[in-house]
Amino acid sequence: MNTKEITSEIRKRLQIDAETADALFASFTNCLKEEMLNGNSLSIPGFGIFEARRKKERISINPTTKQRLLSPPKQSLAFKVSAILKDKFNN
Amino acid sequence: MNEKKSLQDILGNIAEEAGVTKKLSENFLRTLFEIVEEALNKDGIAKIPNIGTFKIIAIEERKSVNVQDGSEMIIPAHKKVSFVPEKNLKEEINKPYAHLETYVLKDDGPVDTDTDDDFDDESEDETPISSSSSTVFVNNVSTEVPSQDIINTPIQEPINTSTQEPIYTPTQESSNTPVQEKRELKVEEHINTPYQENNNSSAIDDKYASYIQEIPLNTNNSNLSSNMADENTLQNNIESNTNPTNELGSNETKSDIVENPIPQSDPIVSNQPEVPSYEPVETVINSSSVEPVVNNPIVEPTTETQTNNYNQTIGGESSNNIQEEIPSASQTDISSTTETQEPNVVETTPEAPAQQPTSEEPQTQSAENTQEKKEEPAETKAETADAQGKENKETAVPAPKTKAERLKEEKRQKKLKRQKEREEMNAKSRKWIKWMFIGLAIVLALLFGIKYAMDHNILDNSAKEQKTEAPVANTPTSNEGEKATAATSENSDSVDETSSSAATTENEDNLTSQEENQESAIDDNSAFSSDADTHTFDQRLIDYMKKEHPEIKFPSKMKIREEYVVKEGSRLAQISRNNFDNVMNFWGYIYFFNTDVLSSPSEVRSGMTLKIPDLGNEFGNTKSSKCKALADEINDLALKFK
Repeated sequence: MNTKEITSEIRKRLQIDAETADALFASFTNCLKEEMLNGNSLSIPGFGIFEARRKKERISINPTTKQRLLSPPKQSLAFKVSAILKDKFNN
Repeated sequence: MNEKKSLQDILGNIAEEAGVTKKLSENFLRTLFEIVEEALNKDGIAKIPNIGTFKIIAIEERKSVNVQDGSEMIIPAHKKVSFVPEKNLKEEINKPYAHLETYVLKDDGPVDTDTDDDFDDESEDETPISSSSSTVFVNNVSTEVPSQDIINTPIQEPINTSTQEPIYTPTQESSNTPVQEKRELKVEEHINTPYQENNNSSAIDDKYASYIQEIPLNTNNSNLSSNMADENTLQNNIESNTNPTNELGSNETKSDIVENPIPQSDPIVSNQPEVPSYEPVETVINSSSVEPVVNNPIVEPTTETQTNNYNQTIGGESSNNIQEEIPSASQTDISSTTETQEPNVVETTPEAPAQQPTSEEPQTQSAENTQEKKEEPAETKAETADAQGKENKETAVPAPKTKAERLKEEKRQKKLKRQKEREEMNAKSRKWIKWMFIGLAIVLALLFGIKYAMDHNILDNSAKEQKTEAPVANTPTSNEGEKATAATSENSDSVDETSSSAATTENEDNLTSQEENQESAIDDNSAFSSDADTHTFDQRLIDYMKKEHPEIKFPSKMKIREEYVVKEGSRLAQISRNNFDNVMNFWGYIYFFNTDVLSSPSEVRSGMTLKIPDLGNEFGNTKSSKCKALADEINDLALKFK
């Protein structure tokens, strides 16, 4: 299901107009981002947990040129699926 | 920080931002994830706008081992939910680190970058033409090759060796990274090549033996062995005649290697004797009267033409032509190499100290060489005597026919005359060599003098610019250069103890100069440290530590362990690695210790002088996970002040 289908489905179910839906999506994204930047994790009951994972800087070696590269540390958004949802898919 | 927030906690914010009721926002989120769940069940994929893509991935069953009891087990096939964040969101979340870039490490760390250099060395040795620096010289070599083809037409392998060697050496000189290993390799090649070609030509053995070992006694032996190998006993005469030229070659090679890094001409010069040794055999057998003719022109003492005449009479017209070509070739070589060397020297200033001694070298060696020459005639006399003694034995055993012929053709009186003539010739040739040496030495001394002058100017300029960095950077490279020069001189002058001792004295000179440099560098550092032994951390760090970790007594001031000059491409983490046992975590301390210089952690530039705090065992224990955790915390704090 792509983004269009999801937005249309949610509008249909909640019976809201496109503007509100877009505003809600935007604000949710914004909130998620803020929480992540503050180092918090966001758990959604029955679905999973969003969290920002910090990755330390590391030395990688280019296999062809044998150059040693220092990759900078980074932070990425990770999602861990909840056990409930996982079980639903596996049964 | 690091709170676990549930959906309820953010509902208010979402509602406020979107301008809707809290209930609607809650409904919205619940339905959203319901839909995603359904979509995943139905299609296996769901895309939430601006957030990312959820996907179901089927994982096949696989074998594994129970960690506790080691028994094998099978992880059954299952499905996994994967999430890939949208690019925009990903970048937003990585924003605190976005300014950091991947860069190439230049310092030597746990992984050796030197392996590259080693690899290059090997490739140079095996496929010398592949290296870009050798291209200049390849031309010279290729011009020489045809002339050698004419000489060596009967023997093909010597051409290979002679073409290879000239390429190695110039590349080494031109690349201006003279490492001892290279020299050793070179010597090994010199030693190896002749033995690989033993079967083909013993004359080449002579050449190489004299070329490598340069001990007259050895050349004697090798000559004799070659005589043994060759069945033509008459060749002994010619061989003994060619001995001086062999030694000519060897002497010239010595001078070339020692004073002038162009052994290109060596193989050519040393190849020449081959021709007479092979070709004239027939002529001698045919008529013994040729031999006096051979000797006579040599007695005529016109220095350069001497060898030409000599080879004319022996080798015939072809060798004459070749010889005319060769001196010119060698001259061009010298000029070309000097041309190429000088710009190189301009580029690499650190080599200068290594070359200072070399300018002195030729002068000292010219004197040594003259001594050598004086010694050699006596030895060569012994040589010829030995050779003839052996001759007689050989003529008795392997080739009775030739012996009979010879007895008829040559009587012992003639032999005695010849010996005398040879001795005379040897003596004259020695004189000629002397003049050659002195001439070469003077030319080379001039060249090195020019180089030295150029280097000196550049050094003066660069020294002003680089200041503290210069001595540190210079010392290792100059060491290498020095070693290389020492290696060349020692390799080529195994005989010349005096010259090697001269080289060592030069080395000592270099070392002392280096020490002076280092001392000056140390003085600078000590001057810094005496000004301020301690330095204060940034107030923000002190406040933070008070607030977050009141249990830790964090000192506001800390002793400066070291002044660190930032190298090109270095970042704080890299500096931490260099100063704290390859541990990157302590860069936060370095940042807060240098906030007077650094406005942000990413502001590190090459040439900066950073103070490295002496963290001690309490904070700077590189093996303690507590210390590292605290350091990471400080790093996080540091990242906020970008």
